[in-house]
Formats: sequence, C-alpha cells, structure tokens
Amino acid sequence: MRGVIVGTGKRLTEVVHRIATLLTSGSRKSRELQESKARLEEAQRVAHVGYWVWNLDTDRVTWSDETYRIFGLAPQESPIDLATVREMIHPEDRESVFRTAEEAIRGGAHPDSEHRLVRPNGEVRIVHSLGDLKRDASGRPYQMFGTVQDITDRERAEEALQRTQSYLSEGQRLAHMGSWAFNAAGHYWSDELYKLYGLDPKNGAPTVEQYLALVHPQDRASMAETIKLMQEEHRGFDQIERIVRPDGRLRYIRSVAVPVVEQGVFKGFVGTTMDVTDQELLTQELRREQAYLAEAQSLTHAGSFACNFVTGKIFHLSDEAFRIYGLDPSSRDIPFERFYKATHPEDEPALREKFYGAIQARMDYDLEYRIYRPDGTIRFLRSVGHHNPAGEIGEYVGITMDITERKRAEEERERLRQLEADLAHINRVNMMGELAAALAHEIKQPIAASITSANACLRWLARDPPDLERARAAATRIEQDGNRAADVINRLRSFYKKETPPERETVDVKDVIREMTVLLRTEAIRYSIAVHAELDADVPNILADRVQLQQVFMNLMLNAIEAMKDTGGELRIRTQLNPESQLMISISDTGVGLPADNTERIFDAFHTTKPQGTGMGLAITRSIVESHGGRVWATANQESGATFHFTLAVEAEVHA
Amino acid sequence: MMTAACRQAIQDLVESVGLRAESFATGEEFLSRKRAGDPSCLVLDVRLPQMSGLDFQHRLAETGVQIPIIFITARGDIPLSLKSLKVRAV
Repeated sequence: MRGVIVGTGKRLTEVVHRIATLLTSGSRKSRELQESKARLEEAQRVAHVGYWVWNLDTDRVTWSDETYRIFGLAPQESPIDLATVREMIHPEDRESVFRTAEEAIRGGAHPDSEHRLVRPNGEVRIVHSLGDLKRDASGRPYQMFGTVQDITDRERAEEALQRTQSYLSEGQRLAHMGSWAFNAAGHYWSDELYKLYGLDPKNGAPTVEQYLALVHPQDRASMAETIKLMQEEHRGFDQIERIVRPDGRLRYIRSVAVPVVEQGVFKGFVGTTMDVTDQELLTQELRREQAYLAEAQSLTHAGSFACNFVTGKIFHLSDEAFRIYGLDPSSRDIPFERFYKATHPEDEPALREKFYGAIQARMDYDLEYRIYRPDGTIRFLRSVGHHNPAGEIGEYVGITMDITERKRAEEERERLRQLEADLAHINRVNMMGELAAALAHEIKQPIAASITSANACLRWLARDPPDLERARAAATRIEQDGNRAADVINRLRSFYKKETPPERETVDVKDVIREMTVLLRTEAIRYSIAVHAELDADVPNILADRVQLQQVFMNLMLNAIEAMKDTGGELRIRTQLNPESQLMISISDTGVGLPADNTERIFDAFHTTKPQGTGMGLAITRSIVESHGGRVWATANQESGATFHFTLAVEAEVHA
Repeated sequence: MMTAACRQAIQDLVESVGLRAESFATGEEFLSRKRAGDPSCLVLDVRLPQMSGLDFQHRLAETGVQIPIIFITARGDIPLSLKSLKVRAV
C-alpha cells in the first residue's frame, strides 16, 4: 500500500516538475501556458503537491498556490523570505532539512526528505519534499526548484495500520487466538496459531493430514468430515475440537471458518482459532455442578429462584421450581403472574398480606401456602426468600419447597392421634360391653338369690303353724341380696359417665382397688384365678381422676387375668410408698409372662399379643399414669408371670 | 358359679317344702365331707370354682355313685346342655 502511494506521488512529482520547468522557461505561447497552468493547479490540488522555487542569489522563495495551502497560508503573488520558510519548518526537522539542501548546493544528491512543518494555527503536517538544482552555463547553482507533498494523511494511515497490526497480534496473543487464511495463494497461519498448536512457524502451515494427526482421535473423524465439506462444498464452520499438541498437552480448540466470496466467486477461507480449554473445562464443571444441583433440587423437591416481585421479572428459575408448579421446565417464558395465580384462593389473602408486607419492608420471608397445579391437584409449598439489601426493592433470591408429603404426614399423625383418642373411647366402651355380661351375672346372682329366698320365706309363712324364725332369716337374706345388687350398680355408675375432662379429687386408692376387685371377681373366678390385695392400711390419699384410675386398674387387672386364662393362677395387688414419697402399686400375675424382647414396646399404641386385642390398653394406661405424674413399667417375675408397676404422686395431706 | 347366698337360698327353699338339704361350695367338698346319708338328688351348677360341674359328674360316675342330677346354670347354652345329657344328666 505504501509502495502504491509513494509510486503515485513520484509520478505526480515528475509531472509537476516537467510542467513547472516549462512554465519557468517561458518558451511557450501564452494560451497554451494558461491551459497548462490551470491543469497544473488542478493536479497539485488533487495530489496535495505544491512546488517551490528558491532563488539562491536573493534567498527569496516563490510558492505555488498549493504550497501555500500545504503550509496553511493564503496563496499570494510575491515571493517570501527564506528565513520565513525556515521558521515554518518544524524546529526538530529544521536543521536536517537545510543541511540536505546545502549539501545539494555543494554538489551532493538531490535533496529528498520527509519532514514536518508547523502551520500558523499550530497544526503539524508531514510533507515529502524533493529538490532539483539549476546551474548557469558556468555551472554555478543559481536556483533550486522543488515539490512539496502533504503526506500527513498517508503517514497517519500507516501509523494506524501498524498500530492495528500490533494490537491485532497482541490481541491474538492475549486471547490465545490465532487467525488463518486458505486461498489460491496458499495457506497462511498467524504466529499465535502456531503457538496454539505447539508448532514451529519455520516449518510452515501443516497439511490437512498433518493437521488431522494433531486432532484428538475421538474428534478426528468429525474434523476430517468438516474439512472435506469445507473443501468440496466451501462450507464454513464453527466447532470445538480437542487437539493433542506435540508436547502431549490436550487442548480444546474452537475454530471458526468463513468462506470468502468476491463477486460470486469463491476465493478461499479465512478463520480464527481459539484455545478455549479453560472455558471448556469451566463449562464442563459448571454443567456438572448444575446437574448435581438439579439432582439435589429434584430429590428434595426444592426449586430455586431469583426474581423481582415488584416488576415481576424472573432472573432465574430452576427446573425443579417449574416442576413444583406442575409446569414443563422447557416452557421458559412463563409470566410471573402465572405462578402467583396458582395460589389456593383460601390462602391468597394471607399470602398477599405477608408476602407484600415483607417486600415493602425489604425483609426476608418464610411462608407456607397451597397452590393448584394445572391438573387440579393441590400442593403445599414453603417459600423462603432472601432480600439483598443492596438490590432493588422486590429483588429476592430463595427456594420454594414442595412440603406436601410432610404436610400429609402431619395430617396423618393428627388423624392417628384422633383415632387413638377415639379408640381409647371405643376400647372403654368395648370393655364395658365385655364387663356388662360379667356384671349382669354379678347382679343377677343376688336377685336370683332374693327371689329364691322370697319363695322360701312365703313357704315358711304358709306352714301351719308358720315357721316365723326361718321366714325372718329368709327375709334378712332378701334384704342383704338386694343391697348387694344395689352396691354393684352403684359402683358401675361412675363408668357410665360420658367422657369428661379429668377431674382431680382426693381418692383413696384402697377403695378403688376394692371396687375393681369386686367388679372383676366373676371374671377371675371364671378362669380359676385367685385375687389377693395386700393393702397397706397407711396408704395415703392421692389427688386423681377417679374414673381414670379405675380404668388403669381395670386394664392392668384384665391383662393379668388374660395372661392366666389358660392356666389359672394368682393375681396379687400390692401398694407401697417408695423413697421418693410416691405411691407404687404392683399388679402381678403367674401367667405367660412378658415377651422376651423389648418389654417397653408393650406400652406402645397398637402393640398387642392378643388375637382380639386393640393394643390400646397399656397405651391408655401409660398416658393416664403419666398425666398423674407417675410412670408405668413391667418386670418379669422370678418364677412365672409378670408384674406391672405404676407410681402415683402423693398429695400433701388433704383435709376434708 | 353360684354364690353362697344363692346356695343358701336354694337350700332354704328345699327345706321349706319339708325336704332335707345340704349345701357344698365345691365338688371336692361334696366328695370329701362326711354326709348324713345318700342323697336322692343333686342340684349342680355347671360352673364350679375348682373342678367343673361336668368333671364332677364324671368323678361320680367313676366312683359308682348313681344319683339323678339337676344341672343349673346362670349362663346356660345348648352345647353345654347336650354335653351334660350325654353323660346321663337328668
């Protein structure tokens, strides 16, 4: 490029020279002269070339119009002083310019220099100046003629080009990027490209075969195909392949090739090649981490989000967040409103209040609410949002979790708890049913006895003479049996009361034990079981719910009877005060004993060893005892059977 | 099982019509106690505290005591009655 400009400049300079010589020689007709002069002016103006004539005798200089313009002056007719010209040469170049001229006058070469000049407005221009010496017949130099060309733009363009090239090569080095061209002239590789491949520039660009040998074996076939398409179909490409450099290092390379077509004719390819190993490894790691994160989110049913709730702009929404709302993660552009509108109408007002309250206050939030999925199912969600105080209002990052399973489990637990309470009631009702038969018998006995006695009494009275003594005895028995039946009914009455809140009253445990012994006597006798109560006379009164206490005894005694049902045996009830001033009651049997494994489990709800058991008896027992500040446990007896113990807190002496 | 009160009432009723009557709490007691004379009839509860009424009937049959037995029970059921009849209860 430089050559072209300089070349044109030289030719022009010669033309100017010739014409100027003609002009100054004054040997042509004036019309021709005028035309030539006009053409010269035009040529000078176009090429930014001016001429000058330096009269060596007077040291006056004549400039052409263009020369004035180059020097930033208005053209004028009269010559100017050499000193003035000298002043306008850039101070740093002044000396060398005039030295060259003086050398030429002394017989040296034609002055030819590039130098700077300073225009009156301070602007610096670069000019190319050529001179030619004129001598008279004696050979004495009397005039120097020369041209001056403003080459500032050219110089600047060259500087810019050099700068661009240097930036480009520096840029390639920094970016690990090389460039290449492939055309009729050959195969060009930039220096950086050689470095990327670990090749020596001295060996020139590799052939296709040599190049493919560098490509990683797994990527070689696809690269060969790409090159084939490039050569045969002139198809460009943009792909990442792995190469193994001569030093053995594996690098990821991204190559971009663009076909060059000029006026419909294919000329070759230009392209760039970049070492993207770091980015690629980072990308791979990022993808791995994203996969782990997605997996973790999917496992925990937690989706992450980042959005501005005020503007409704969503910055990030993980796949799991979509799935939680029953949406397809691939359907990306879902408006924020769609998510908010999924909220269950019953939860919406409370959610709106708390949620927008937190946003206005720029606070974190942690909320639970229900949503409807598009398929109509309801899910429980918990959303935790963190507001970055540095961010805009409404900007939150957080997670949304599907807690439906947990909620269902909680509901299930609550349901079971309710069921347990129901069962406790049913169990008691069942027990009452079982007892009713036994109690009916218990009541029927004295009634049957009194009817029989009444019969006998009537017969004694019907005798002649009436046997009054035997009749009185019979009547006495009727009274006793009647009272006995009434007693049984009185004892029962407390059981028929409907579930009432626990009522603490002063209770004599001995009374309760006696009552229960009476109630269960028939049952015990039925299975040949002897019941013994060893009651300490000093047993203090306790504050308890009488009905519940009866139930505890009933459960434990029925269990003991159940354990001895097939064998018969002995049921023993003992009371004693333990060192902690607690009343300890032990109910032991000589039955089948405890299960060999965990004896504590027998107190768990629904744990049963009986075919018809509900597994609630001991669970209820424990809950009652614990509500009275005591505890219940079981021990195996030395010989046979088991003993159930429970403690009750003793109240301070209660005065009536 | 019959309570002492019931037993006593029945004994008194039988005596009130001029018959001699004795009462026993258990089968064992009947077998072991010296009795005034051979009874002509036995009123027996099916459910006895130790030896069951039916077992007691077997024992009587084994020892050759042949007395008519009236079974009474507070909770009679058909299988039990059939069983008793098969062992010659009256």
